[in-house]
Amino acid sequence: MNSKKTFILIELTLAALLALLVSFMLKEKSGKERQRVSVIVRNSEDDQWTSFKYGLRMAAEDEEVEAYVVSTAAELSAAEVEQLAAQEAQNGAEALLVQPVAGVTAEALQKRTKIPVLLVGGDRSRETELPSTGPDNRAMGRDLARALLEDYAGNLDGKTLGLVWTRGEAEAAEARRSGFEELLAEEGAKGTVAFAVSGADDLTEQPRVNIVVAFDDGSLIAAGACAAANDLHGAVLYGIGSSARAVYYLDTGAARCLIVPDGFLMGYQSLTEVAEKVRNPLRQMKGTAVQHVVMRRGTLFTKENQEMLYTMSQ
Amino acid sequence: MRRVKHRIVSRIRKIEPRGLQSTIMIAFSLVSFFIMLVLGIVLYLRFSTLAREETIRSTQKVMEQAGENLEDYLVGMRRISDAIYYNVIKESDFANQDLAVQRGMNLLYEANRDNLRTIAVYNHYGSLMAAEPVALQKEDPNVSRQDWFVRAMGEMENMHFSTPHIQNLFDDSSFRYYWVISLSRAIEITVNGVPQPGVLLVDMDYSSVSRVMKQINTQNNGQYYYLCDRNGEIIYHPRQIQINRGLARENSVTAAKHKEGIYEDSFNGARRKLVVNNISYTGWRLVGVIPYTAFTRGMINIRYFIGIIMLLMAMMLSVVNRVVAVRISRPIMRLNDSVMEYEAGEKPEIYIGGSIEIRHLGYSIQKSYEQIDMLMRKIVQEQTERRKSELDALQSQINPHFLYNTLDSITWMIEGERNEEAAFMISQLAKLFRISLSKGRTVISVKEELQHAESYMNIQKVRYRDAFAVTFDVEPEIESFCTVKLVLQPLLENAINYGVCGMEDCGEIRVTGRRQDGRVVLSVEDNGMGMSEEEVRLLLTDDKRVHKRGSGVGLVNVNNRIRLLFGESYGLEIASEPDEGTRVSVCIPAVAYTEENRERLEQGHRYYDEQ
Repeated sequence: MNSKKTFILIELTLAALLALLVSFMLKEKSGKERQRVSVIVRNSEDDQWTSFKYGLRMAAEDEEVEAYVVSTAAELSAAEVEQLAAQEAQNGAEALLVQPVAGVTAEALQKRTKIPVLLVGGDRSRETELPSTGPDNRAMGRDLARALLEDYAGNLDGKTLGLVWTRGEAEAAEARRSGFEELLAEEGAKGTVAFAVSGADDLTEQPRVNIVVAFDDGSLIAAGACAAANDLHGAVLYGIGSSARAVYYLDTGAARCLIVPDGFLMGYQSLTEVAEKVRNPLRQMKGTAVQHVVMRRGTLFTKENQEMLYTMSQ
Repeated sequence: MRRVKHRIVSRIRKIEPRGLQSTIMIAFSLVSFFIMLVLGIVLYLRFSTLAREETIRSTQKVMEQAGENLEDYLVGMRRISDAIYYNVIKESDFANQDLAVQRGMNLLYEANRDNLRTIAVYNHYGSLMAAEPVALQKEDPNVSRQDWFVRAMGEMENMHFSTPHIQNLFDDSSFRYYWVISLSRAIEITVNGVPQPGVLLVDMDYSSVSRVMKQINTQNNGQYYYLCDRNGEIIYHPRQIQINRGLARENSVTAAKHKEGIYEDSFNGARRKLVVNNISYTGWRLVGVIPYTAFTRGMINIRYFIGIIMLLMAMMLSVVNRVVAVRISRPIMRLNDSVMEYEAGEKPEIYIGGSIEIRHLGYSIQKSYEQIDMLMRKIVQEQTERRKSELDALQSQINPHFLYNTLDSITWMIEGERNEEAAFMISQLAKLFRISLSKGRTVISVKEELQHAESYMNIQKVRYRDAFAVTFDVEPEIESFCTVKLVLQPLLENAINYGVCGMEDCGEIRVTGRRQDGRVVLSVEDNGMGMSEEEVRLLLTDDKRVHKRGSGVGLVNVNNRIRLLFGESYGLEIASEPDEGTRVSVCIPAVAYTEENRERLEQGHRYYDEQ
């Protein structure tokens, strides 16, 4: 090869390297586009999701992804969830966090979206092909029953109980109720369940009871409002909730005990998990159980509870 | 080891020498590359040091500004506290001037409501004396056991800033819980004219502090700022909840022990720079954390920039190197080309150009070649002259020899009174000499040579009294070709003396002339006693063993003359059989006898030069 050809070859190689470096530099300057993770939960604007969304926000900052919470109605059908999931995948979502709804199968979600899906806030005891992150609903039910028995010295003889939950939360509520009843049965408490209803808009229409047990945030707030208005006829309220309003009812004495799932941790851990999956597609996603705390009025403002309350107030 | 060394040395030896231009180009490029590499590294180190210093400097500036903002805010809160205490509480009696107290507190609250959550006055039992905004106090908030109350009553001379906490004193019907920082101080309140201790609480909105901190926590390179108290208790951290939940860690306790300044820190296996600022009156520390990865991240663009500069310089230097290499090497290469053309046999002008040194070289080479040419011409001329003189000398060796024999015959005739024969001999001799002289020519036509041979044989026949017969059998077409003169005479002389001389009446000499394969072959054949094969082989050499009969000068002379004139591939060919006879052939090229050819041959141009 003569020197002219060598010279041209060297110049071309240097020019190619230069173009490569310039493109890298421009790419670096324009900044990396953040990957998007969409979140589909029922009634997403509701206060019960405040701490969950705060957890998502913090994880999104830490993991440098964009978390987008889809605006949804109070009730969602399986078809709507699948449609929303497909729509989000089409709109560029790299992964999905989906609250499980009865009828939605892992196969259908995977088929329609073809992106990683992690279930959040569902019943972790139910077997599913998809990983699930959320509170242990059965354990929360059991802890609620334990708190109730503590207050009544383990004796519910002659006491009547009203059990309520929101219509759309059937799956989680079912697991909580199951855990609740399980522990009562184990402890031999013989309270009488006067009513067990879902989606009861007006508790005053229900039979009078000594104790009202609400298995989700919506039903707890409804019952708390009744109690605050002295419409529960002296019934004592126990429940599971995750909003500041639910805590308020505990703070003001309308509720006696509150089980609060750690929504922040659920949001943070679930988004971290899918973000890692997006970065490393070969990684196997894992679901995790998030903790819950038992809040009582006297210990409401402990340091730990204040932190939880802080996430609910964001 | 020796093998490796041997291999390396042999490989180096195998490397073919490169051209001058490539060598200059490679040398320049290597030097340029080395300089650029050093320059790039130095630039990068310099840039990175500057960038680090700049990052730390800008962090300090940001922190100074944020610290001032926080201090302004906290001083404002202190002033509010002072104003409430000195202008409202100290001037009023809570027993009968509660409205005035309320009005005063309301005025201050409204003026600062963006930064304030609550103002409240408690007596030393923890009972609420006044509050703004007016709100329903929660049932049994247990004020006297709250941290801010305890600290205020514990150190009465100071103001106390708490760490952030939820304000849990008053009922908020909007179901909200506010995050506040409590500024508490011990005060003296007057009830019914009796002074008693109490606590003034100013709950500052935490969002005012977090807003200031969020404004400076905007970098996405891993750098961040946080606020902690003197014990390392975190007041604000961008990852505060993660830290509280154990999802992240911060060594705020260590940072809180530092005075204002810049510190090296190693935490969670990562090296960091800590910039610590104190916030006046509070004991708080504003800490800026710069992980070393932030420096690296900031340097990525500088790396690309330096890379681009280096590549551009490399491209430019390649062009410059090539131009310089070409400029330096072109005159030398052109000189080399002209020398190579000269060596290939062409006669180009030797290149003279470029720098003074190359010009001088060109001039020298040109002069050398001119001298070589001149010398060559001189050598050729000298050689031609030498050949001519050799030829002349050879011819001169023949003439006396022949003349001696002929004159001997004439003498013998005259003595025998054979005058007619003597006259014939003299006339033949005259013919012979006319051709022999040929006006000094050495090349004559075959026809003249044959005529010369015939004259010679006539003389010899007379001398030998027709003791042998002579026949001439020559193709007429060969008569017009060139030959060296006097080549047949020595052959005929030898044929007579050593072939047929001793024979009685039956001696025969036959002269033939043929054209064979582009050559002219003149043969003299006798039927004499012949020679052995060895004698024939050594006849044309200088070996004295074969020259038993005669000196042998004749044949050698003829052979040399032919070869001198026509080249090595021509000359004499001898065939002989003992008791059968001998045939000696003159082989010469068939060159047409013209004046031009004759002159060229005589000037020393060989026959093969003509082809």
